[in-house]
Amino acid sequence: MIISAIVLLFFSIVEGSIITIPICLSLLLVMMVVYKKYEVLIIGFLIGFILDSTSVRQLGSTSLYFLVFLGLVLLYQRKFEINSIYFVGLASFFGGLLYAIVFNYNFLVLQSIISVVIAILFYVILTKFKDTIALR
Amino acid sequence: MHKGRYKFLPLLAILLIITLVIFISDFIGISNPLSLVLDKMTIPFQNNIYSALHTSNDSSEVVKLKEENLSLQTQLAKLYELQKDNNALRDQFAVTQIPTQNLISANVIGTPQFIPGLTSVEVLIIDKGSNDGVKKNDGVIYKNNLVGTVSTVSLGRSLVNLVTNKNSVFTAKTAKTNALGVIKGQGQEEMFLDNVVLSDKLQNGDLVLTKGSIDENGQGQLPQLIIGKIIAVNKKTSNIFQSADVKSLLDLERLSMVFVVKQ
Repeated sequence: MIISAIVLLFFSIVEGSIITIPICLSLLLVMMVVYKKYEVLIIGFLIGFILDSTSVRQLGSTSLYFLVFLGLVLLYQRKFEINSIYFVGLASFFGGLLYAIVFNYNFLVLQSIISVVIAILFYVILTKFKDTIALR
Repeated sequence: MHKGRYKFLPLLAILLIITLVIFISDFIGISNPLSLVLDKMTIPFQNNIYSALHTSNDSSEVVKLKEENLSLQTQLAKLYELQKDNNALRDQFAVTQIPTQNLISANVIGTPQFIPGLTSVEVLIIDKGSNDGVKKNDGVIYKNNLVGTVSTVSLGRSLVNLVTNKNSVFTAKTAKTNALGVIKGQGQEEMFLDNVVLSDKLQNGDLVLTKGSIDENGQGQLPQLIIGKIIAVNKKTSNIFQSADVKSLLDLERLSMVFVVKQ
């Protein structure tokens, strides 16, 4: 979890500097799905402010989006199993699409597809990483 | 997590309220110490990451030649202006000379909405903000070439809309033939000089300059800044206007330093 948070911090600066694919959103979603901890909400809240600062956005706008998105994921997991690659793919696609619309990005579908690929990649890595630690 | 239903709701509500308070205070313009702290903390990292991941692939010789070419084009634009100055009918045109005290040097620390190989740079993030005297709508230049206009300003950073951005529209004229028109960003590093009357002459290779639109508050575009070069002319006698495709002389993807023109 700490390593994921550090990776997320790095990506928050990369996202504001080089490319604007919603990498942080994908990673936050995967962290919530895999770890299922409330701390992810706090991490999303803090990372949102860093992203606002690096991307010169209205302060609080990204945090607000992350909190609402993660809140919806938490509500959804009461009724359905969220720890699956299908859920990660679907949620990252629609989450990424809405994120791109809200923050006025170009190439909405392309960015959403890339965010799905990134989310699935993170999901596979984090699940394997978590299993390895559990086996020890 | 599994102990109780919706146990996360109080935490979520508290975080949402804090975020909303910060969002509203920033929206109504209350000076936010959080913004200042975040800017100070992240700018050095952002600068380093941008520099590390955004280095030029060109050899030093190519970079040198590009710089030289840019400098020659600037001189060419000045030459056209000198020719105009010599013309008695046009002696009121002045050569653009921006005093250095009106320029703020800024490092490019971000190119959001840029996917290498897929999309082009349309906005830049620079490391100077309202604390350094940057204001919304200030022009941004590099060697007398117009880079873009400041669209959003925070305390320590600013967002620059490039001339090639789809939202970028302003009046322009050609250097050699003095044809007037409206330059529109097309995205993908392209611009379009439109609304040029058929009686005006457009030439391939002619430079396109800003016409200038400074208002009584000193806001707007300075005149005589190079926007780009005409690469294709579209003229049909059946149309009311003629147009031209324009390309910037700058390698906008690889800009590392720009200058904000203080009004």
